[in-house]
Amino acid sequence: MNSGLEPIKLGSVTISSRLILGTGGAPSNQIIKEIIEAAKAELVTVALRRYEPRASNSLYDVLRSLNVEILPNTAGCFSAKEAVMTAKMGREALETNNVKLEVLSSDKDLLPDPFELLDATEALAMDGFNVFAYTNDDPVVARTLEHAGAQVVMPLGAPIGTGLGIRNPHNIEMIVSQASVPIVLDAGIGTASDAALAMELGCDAVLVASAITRAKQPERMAKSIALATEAGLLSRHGGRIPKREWALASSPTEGIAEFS
Amino acid sequence: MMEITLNGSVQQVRESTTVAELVEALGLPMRGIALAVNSEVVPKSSWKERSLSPQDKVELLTIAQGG
Repeated sequence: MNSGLEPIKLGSVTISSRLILGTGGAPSNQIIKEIIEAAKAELVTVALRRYEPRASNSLYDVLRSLNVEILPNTAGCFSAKEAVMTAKMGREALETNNVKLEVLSSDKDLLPDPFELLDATEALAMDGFNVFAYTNDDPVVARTLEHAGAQVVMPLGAPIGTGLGIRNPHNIEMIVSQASVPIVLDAGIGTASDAALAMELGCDAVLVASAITRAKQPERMAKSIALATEAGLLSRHGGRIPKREWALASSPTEGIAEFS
Repeated sequence: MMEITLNGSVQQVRESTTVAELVEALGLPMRGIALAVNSEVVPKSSWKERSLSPQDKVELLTIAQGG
């Protein structure tokens, strides 16, 4: 029987765990290690920042010791030019063609800028990158990114760090239904049920950072969201019953005793 | 000596210092880092040959927490 838990390929990486972890917001590298282990995550995202003489580079060592795949992002970029440059730096630092492409439009809402994102996607796809495009929940933009060469499309559920869940489930369903590349729900997840919903809507995976790294008990939340992600996927494959307007008895309607 | 900018701060380095020498002086491991000179990525394979010039702007990045 197809359990739906078979591995999926994202860019050059094949993973079984459908929960991708973002490391942003974690109080320490030790917490990052604990949440990766609790979630059984196989793919984690990192940012690229200026080398600081006083900081250690031990995040790299921690991630390597856990044998996880590292997905560099272009967080903090507000133009295609910056994002392309940062992607190239990520490729050089981590020897991977995979990049989570973020091109944001404003500091306040951290929403993706679809125009710059499209330009950067085209440029990077031409340059041999496997682009994981972080985008709005707009089906037109999602499909345009796929045509531009994105190998994974990552629509948001809600703005980064808000924990508002999936604000427009119907759009996510539309994005999934038309896509021929994997769809990863990214940003907005606040708790386990949001991750389950993403998978029930047909997403191939979810990416979660703040909901875990900023939880009161990150390790416990990592496990919770990992279980919910798997549950949502099983539920999707299990096939939900159609919604009805009126009740339908589950017990037999024949053979009911008569009491006077 | 000559002046370069490393991650936004002005530094004095020996003339014709190579990228490899610059990184080595910082005591950094080679993995998990990337370097650009004047907005051009310099691949690790050419760090030993690539000499810096006065006023070069060097960006040296490492991986950091990120979502």
